Amino acid sequence: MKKKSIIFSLLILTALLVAIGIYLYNSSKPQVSNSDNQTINYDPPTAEEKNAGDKQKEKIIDSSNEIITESEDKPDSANILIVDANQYEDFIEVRAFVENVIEDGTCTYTFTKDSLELVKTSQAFADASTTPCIAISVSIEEFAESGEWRLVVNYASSSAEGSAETKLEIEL
Amino acid sequence: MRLLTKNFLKSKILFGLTLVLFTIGLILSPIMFKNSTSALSGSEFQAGNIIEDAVFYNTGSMTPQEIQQFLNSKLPTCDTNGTQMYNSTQTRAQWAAANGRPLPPYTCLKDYSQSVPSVTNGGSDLCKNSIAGGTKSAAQIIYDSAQACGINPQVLIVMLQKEQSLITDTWPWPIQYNTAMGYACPDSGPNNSANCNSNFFGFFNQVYDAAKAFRRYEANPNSYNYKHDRNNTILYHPNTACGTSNVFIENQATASLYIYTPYRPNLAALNNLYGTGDSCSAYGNRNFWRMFNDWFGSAHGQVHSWELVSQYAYTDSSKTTPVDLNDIRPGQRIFVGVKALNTGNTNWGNVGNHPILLGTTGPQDRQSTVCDSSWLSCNRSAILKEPLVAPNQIGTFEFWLDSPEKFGEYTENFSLLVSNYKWMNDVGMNFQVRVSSGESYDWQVSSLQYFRDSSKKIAVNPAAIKASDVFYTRIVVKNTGINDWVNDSSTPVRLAPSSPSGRLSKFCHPDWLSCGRIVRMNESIVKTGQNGVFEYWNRAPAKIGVYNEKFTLLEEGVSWMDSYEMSLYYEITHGIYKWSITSQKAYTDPTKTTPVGFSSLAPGQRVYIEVRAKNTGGTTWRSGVNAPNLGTNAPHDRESKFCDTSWLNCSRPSAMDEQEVAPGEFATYGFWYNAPYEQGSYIEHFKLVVEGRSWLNENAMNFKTNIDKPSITWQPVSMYAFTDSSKTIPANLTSLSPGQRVYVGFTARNTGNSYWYRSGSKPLLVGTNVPHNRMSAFCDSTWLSCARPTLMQEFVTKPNEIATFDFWYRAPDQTGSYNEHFKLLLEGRSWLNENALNFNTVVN
Repeated sequence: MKKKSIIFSLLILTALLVAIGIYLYNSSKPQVSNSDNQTINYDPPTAEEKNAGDKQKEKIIDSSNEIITESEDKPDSANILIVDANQYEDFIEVRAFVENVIEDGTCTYTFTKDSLELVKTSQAFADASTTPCIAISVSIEEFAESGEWRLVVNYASSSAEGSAETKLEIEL
Repeated sequence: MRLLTKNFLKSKILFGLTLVLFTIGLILSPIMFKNSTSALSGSEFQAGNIIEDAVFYNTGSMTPQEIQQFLNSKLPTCDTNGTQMYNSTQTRAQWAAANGRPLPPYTCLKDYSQSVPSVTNGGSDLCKNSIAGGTKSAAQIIYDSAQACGINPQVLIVMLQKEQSLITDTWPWPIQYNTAMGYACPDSGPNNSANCNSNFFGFFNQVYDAAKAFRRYEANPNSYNYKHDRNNTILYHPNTACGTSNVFIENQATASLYIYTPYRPNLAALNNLYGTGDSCSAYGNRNFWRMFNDWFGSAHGQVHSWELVSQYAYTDSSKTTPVDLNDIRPGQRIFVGVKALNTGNTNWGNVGNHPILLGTTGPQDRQSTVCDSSWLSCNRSAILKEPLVAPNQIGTFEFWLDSPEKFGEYTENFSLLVSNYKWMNDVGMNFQVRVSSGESYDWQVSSLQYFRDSSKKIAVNPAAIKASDVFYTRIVVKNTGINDWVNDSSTPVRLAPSSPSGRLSKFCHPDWLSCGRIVRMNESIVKTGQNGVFEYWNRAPAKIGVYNEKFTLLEEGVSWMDSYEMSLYYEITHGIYKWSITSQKAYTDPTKTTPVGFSSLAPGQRVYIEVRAKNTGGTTWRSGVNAPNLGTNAPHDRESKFCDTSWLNCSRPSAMDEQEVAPGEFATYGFWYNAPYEQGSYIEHFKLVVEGRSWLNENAMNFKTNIDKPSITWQPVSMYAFTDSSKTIPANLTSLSPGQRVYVGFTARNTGNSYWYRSGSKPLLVGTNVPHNRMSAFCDSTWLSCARPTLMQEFVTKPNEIATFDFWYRAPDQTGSYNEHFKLLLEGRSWLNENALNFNTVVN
């Protein structure tokens, strides 16, 4: 009985030593993802990566679950974000996009200062995940005077409309 | 007891199982937690530089096979039938059915394929390459789209994961393929849901359209809402209430990511890089950055970089005998090595698809001139010697250099590269090899050319050089020795006749430094393997024959380079000399103002003849070198009776007046034609002759001249004596003081039919008489000799004209009465004996 216990303990100890050896060997190896390639990680997926598919499906379920087509409902309020409206040397650059719709439309840029007004337009078009307005670059010669100007960017299409505004300093 | 034993055994088994599990855990833990122990931190996220352009647009990062291999690695098994448990009570298939979602079978991305339409591109700003149609795997679609649109396929892979988790999803639904890249899917809308445009559904459409969008953004950087090198307002979340931040976007790749997904992660999202943040967290660009780093290494900077540690060169691969690369023989093999420090953040290896190689640069992939058969190819000299070189460790590259057969200095540039991926930074590493003969000073001829003149436009055949020809030689020589040739003022490098060194060459030209030093090298310095140029005139010897002229180089004051000599064989032959007579004219004198005939001449009469001859041959006549002279003919070299003292000799009336007469040009021969004092009908034959070479036989000319019987007589006309040569004060010859000089003279009429001349072959002189050629006591220093007081003053005295003879008459020191006798004579012919003169003189 005692002999069996000793043999059993020795087996356990051997397994432990082997395990420690393997662990140390693994630890001593440089942390290379794959011996074939140092730039591409060919390791099996991590737990988080394995779980990503399930999470993606939960997102699909959680969302409206509906894939709408262009003919279906669209938001009637377009969220405009003015990314940049500044003077770069002798030009005023304005870049903006509609972040909640993907469609073609028109962007209108209205610069005002007191009674002064300058209006520009550009096309907006459906892109990967937004509707960017084609950026405009306006010569400062088109502005009557220096100072702080108000800019309103308006987006309009057959199904959505919205605007955003900002202020910018123009130095002629 | 039995029960106790069983319990004891159970506890032992449990204990053992625990230990085994612990052991397995220990073994697996480095694998399972490898990524979770990654050094990547959210603080490293750069909102303005998510990924470098060089990485984003690197189309060569993966082959289709590597993409497939990658998909296989991330999808070891697929849950095709949805049998795995979704939760504690439902399998995936059951859960999907309960939610009205697609039922099995499910197709993993690694196994996915679809029919792809043929796409022809070539637009000005979009994708440039076309895609062939057909049924293609997901890996091939990713690769084709990346190549067509110039996008890194790794970018597309990461996009597939961040948008729909397709890379690791073991049971993907069709909708995930239809919206694989989230293309045409707004991130906001009702309930912030993704409401995608079905016009862009389909895996291929999504991958290709997304790649095309990235290309479109790059091609039109000024048209989109996010622009690099600008401050840009960026939302944190589709919910605009979460606010914005201002980000200076540093590159187009990052701008493109924001155009595609217009949100940046907030701090909460970055603080929990592999999890979720807060209600204002957006994860698209964070996940892109994180996944790219996890799967493909850093998206920034030089993942692969190196510094040179050392270089070495040996004669053998065992590296026992170092070799001097400045002293290499043609074709010699040299074993060289490079030690390189891995300064990047990625391990280097030498197996698989991306081993680290040493490749040729300057330019990259140049075909090397020192390529050895042991190389991988002539633009890949070596592979990393060590199987693994971690960052900050040193790797070794060793290979054979096969020296070129040609002498010279060779600079072979190399750099490291990740095979099938990219070049590393170029540190300017090179091996400079100087291939020489091993002699300190050695050389060889690279080219040898002969020209008609120094403009070097018309070549001359060296086998057709004619005697006395002048030709221009250009020799290009290569420095094959170890030492450079320094051609400065103190040690000029010169070409010189050799065997023996400094010999005087028979091809010497007046332009040479001397006949023992030909010319100086054009260049100021010529290194090993470089060429030096010597240009100089040669004048071929006048004598025909075969000449073996040897030349060598010397660096004056330093060394002769006569380990090599250049032997030039010249077979000098006769030139092609031809002529034709253009004109023959006679004048009274060389001014050529008064033409005369010469078919009938008075005895002794001289006429000046001018012959014009055209050079109708192929050789330029050069005065003093090879110009033909006018010679007497019939027979050759006949002594002419019309010889004049102005002739070269009595068989050579004249040389050519011109310095040089090229073929087609004219030569002039002018000479006095002096009629003999002998009656007769003469035919004087002349030809051109190149002295020592040949007579120009194709033409000849002759002058027919009749000479009357000569009558050479005279009569004294007057005698006089003056105190001075202006003949103003008469002198009394009967009362001279010893040593007194008086100017005496007489005039004489030519009563014969001959011409008298002051010059020419038979000038008329006054000679002492009684006896002939007596040495006179009244000799003056102005006399021609003490037996020849003077010449006739006039140039010519024709028949019946009067000639004048004046000369100083110096009284001797001894007093006494003297009777000085004189006669006229044609010097070289005869005395005019019919009359004589004498001056009775008394010296007191």
